[in-house]
Amino acid sequence: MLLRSRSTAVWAAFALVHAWLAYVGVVLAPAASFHDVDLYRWWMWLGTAHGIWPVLDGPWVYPAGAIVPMVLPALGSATSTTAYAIGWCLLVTILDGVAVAALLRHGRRGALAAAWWLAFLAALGPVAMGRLDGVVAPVLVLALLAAARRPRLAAALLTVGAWIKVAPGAVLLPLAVVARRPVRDVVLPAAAVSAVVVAAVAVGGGLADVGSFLTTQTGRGLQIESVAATPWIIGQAVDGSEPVLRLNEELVTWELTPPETTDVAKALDVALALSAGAAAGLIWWAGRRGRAGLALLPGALLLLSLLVVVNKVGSPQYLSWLAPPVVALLAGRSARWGRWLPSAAALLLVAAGLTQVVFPWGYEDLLTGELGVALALAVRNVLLVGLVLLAVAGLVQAGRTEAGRTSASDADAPAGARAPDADPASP
Amino acid sequence: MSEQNPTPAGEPSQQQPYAQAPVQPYEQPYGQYAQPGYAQGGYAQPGYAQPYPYYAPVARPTNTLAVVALIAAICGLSALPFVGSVAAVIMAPMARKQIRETGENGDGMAVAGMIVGWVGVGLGVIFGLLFLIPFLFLIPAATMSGY
Repeated sequence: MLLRSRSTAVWAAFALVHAWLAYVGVVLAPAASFHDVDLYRWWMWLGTAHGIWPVLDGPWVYPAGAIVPMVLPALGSATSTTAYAIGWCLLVTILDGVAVAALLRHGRRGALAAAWWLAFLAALGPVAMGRLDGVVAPVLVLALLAAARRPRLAAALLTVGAWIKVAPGAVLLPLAVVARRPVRDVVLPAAAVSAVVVAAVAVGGGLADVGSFLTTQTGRGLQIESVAATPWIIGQAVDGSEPVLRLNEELVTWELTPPETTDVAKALDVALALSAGAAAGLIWWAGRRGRAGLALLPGALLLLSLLVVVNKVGSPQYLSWLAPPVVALLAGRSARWGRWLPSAAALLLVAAGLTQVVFPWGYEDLLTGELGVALALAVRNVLLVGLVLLAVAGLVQAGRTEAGRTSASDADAPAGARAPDADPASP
Repeated sequence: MSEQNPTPAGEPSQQQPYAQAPVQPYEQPYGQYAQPGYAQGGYAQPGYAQPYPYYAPVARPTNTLAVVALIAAICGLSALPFVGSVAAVIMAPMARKQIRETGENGDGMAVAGMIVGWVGVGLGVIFGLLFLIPFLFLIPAATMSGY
């Protein structure tokens, strides 16, 4: 009875949040917040009406798998902006619903985790729904929930996600590091899914461009929302000097113009690779020293948050990726996580809310150098750096949780282990 | 109604293909037998002997009508005002009746669909009245001016 009313509350919140996001994107502010969805519709219209498909007939910014979620709403209409947007909202709502249903089957903590995720989606606003990342986020939640008991399913789901929007592929790294049989449980499923995708693209005649998503973004400058752009954005807002922005018309993003920012953008590409390598080392250490399964979720959070923080792009929808590891952590047992997990959950909620303040609502003010919005963005970026540090703290704590305390063969299910670990291993 | 997306048919028949496909693969269709209280008992065990029960072994299928009712309620607050809410309010009790008979999952969804559906109906009535009231004042004014 109690369980049922809890699930009723979660589903009612689910309906209200998704109705609100769809209403904002379709009715209230489609031009500001759902611009990308109309871009998806345009690409699918070119495909369905003229037979010119992305990847199959030319390079594309997204991996080939992104065609699948984009073409589904186009089965209804590829000509009407509103009809396509409604179909898109329906698709994201159903995928989110599958993830929430899986969370509710996870018991009491699952309901808590679902409630937190819904609060996060509401805080992040319309970009949580009107972007490809909204399709990837529920896939990530399902993969991370499955990771403990069904690593092969998790690896396959993550690879599917990676062929839609790259980022989930990063989680394959910690999954492989903590797996007992990395080749069998992670590499083979990932390779199988990739083989199917590449074969499908080859049949469609697009083999030459199957990897184009890796190269089409290299020319990008430093995007104004990125963490590294914070000093210039604050500088512009404080001294009210000439705008330092220009529109990258090909990708419809705003970038910084000062010449030194191109060097910063190049340096970030290198720093991203280096920091991901360092994170992999830390995950490997935590997995070796502590119980291997414990390192997975903090490791996923660390890698995904590095992908946002050490990135020259830093679009608002990227925050969608950060919620799934927190959701999966909240759905597990919280006792062993000490204080870093509640801190990370609270911090990410605030960061999501500030992101919505900046985009879509304050974006024009940001472009003209309004100080308030610039400060909101700066605080958001500082919080994201804090999230990286908290994820490191979580990994260190996972590494310090003694492996010998339980039967080592049961990595993800410590039978009866209390592991109070009161020291939160502050960064 | 006309802006509704995939096919301009009635709501249930049109939403079902979306609603059914992604939800069911995550269910295990043939639960051996219903274990009431499984979820509560299983998770509350202090020893936590079972690993994370993501795929609950006795999970039952979710009632399709409950899913459709919840989606109709969502549409009623966004893309399909009032109509979606009314559909949700009608379908949700039907779904609950089915769930009582078959023992399927989804009662929480159905009740949520009903609650959110009534919220939509209530909002629809309020907004309807806000539009109607000025006309109610106009009618006597119009008849008066006729004289």
